[in-house]
Amino acid sequence: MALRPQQETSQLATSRPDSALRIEPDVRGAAAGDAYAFQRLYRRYMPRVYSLCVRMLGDQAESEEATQDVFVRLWDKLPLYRGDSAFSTWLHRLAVNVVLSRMKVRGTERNRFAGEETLEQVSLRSAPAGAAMDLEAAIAMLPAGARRVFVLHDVEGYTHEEIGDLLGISAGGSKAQLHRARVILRKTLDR
Amino acid sequence: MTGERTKDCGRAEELLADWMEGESGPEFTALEAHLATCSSCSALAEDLRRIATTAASLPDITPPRDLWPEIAMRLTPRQAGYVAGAVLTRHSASHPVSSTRRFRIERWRAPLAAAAAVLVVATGALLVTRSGDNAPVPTAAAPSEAPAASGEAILASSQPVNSAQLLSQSYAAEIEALTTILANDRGILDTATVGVLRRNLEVIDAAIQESRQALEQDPASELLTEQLNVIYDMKLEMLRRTVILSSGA
Repeated sequence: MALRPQQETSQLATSRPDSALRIEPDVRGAAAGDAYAFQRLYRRYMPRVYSLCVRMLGDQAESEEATQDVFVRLWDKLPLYRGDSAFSTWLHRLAVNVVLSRMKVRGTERNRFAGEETLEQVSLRSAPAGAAMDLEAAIAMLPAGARRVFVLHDVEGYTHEEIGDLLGISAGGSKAQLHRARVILRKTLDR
Repeated sequence: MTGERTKDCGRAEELLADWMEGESGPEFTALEAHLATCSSCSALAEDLRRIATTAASLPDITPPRDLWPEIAMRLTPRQAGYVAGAVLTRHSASHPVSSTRRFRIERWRAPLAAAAAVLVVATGALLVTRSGDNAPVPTAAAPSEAPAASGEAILASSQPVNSAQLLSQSYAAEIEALTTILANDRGILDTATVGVLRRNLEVIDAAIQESRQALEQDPASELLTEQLNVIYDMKLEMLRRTVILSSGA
């Protein structure tokens, strides 16, 4: 499943007026109200969407809800899809927007993964000393601001400029958050 | 190569982020020279690069439960007009939909809505009754009444529909597996919980029956086929949750 935006830049750049002709049949069917086709799209793309949600939100239950929100929103928006970009890219952007809206509305930044947490605070809630932590677990422990940028850049392949547009920060700010995230991850993984 | 930090190490760390982004220039040339002689900084650079590489190839994660039934529920009640409307509107331009078909679609929503409501209410009820003594549910105060009947009651009300031409083998197998687990766990669930389960499984089974009848009248309908599957999914989801809840009771 090719969802990484950077990998599809060339496809986006070469979008032609007849791009709608390349829309896959299930997308066309679901846009026309075919729930059966929509369920097939869900089966195909759900793991990618859920992965984004769980890594961005760091909470399983909320990620399940967010994934459901994405597909409900997708059902609403599908008739608007014209095939100007790859469907997977379009869906991915929709999913990112849903997650970011959710984080903003629910004030996720104010929870225990607060964006302004210091590394020292992070260390206080670390896994038991000596326990091996994989990267997924370490990502979940990142402060929200650093986690968002890290997931969008290193996992999902967005550029700093795209991240800046999405998050309302500068590209330089995105770079700084990314470096901070990687350094925190290194320290967390080294424990 | 030295492992001791020098005054250049701080500057090197500041430049690493941009260097990893592919920036070039005299200061980055100096950084590369520093990395060649400083094991501490070169290890840092290597680790950060490894983290980025690993992150880019992380595998997808799948949720522990199927999210589709609840998505389908949210589509149908709130956007049923849209679901049907989309079909009807798009088809109406070139394939006018008969009033009979429209009636079938409208009529079909009722069992699905009932099953959907049951799934939501039943889960809430299960959570309440599971809380035992603290639960403000009068019937939950009799956990010892006929506990042996619990599993039987569940089994009796949730037998797979035997004539299910549209019931996939996977549905039948999973329903059977779950009801077997619940039968083996008899006595764990209290009477009130079993009562909730039985009543709601009856509603879901009635919804399945009604949807199947509608499908028999319109066997080519993908929409009806899909929605029958949705109701089966709901039944499975309820059984799955029951198994999970009973295992933690």
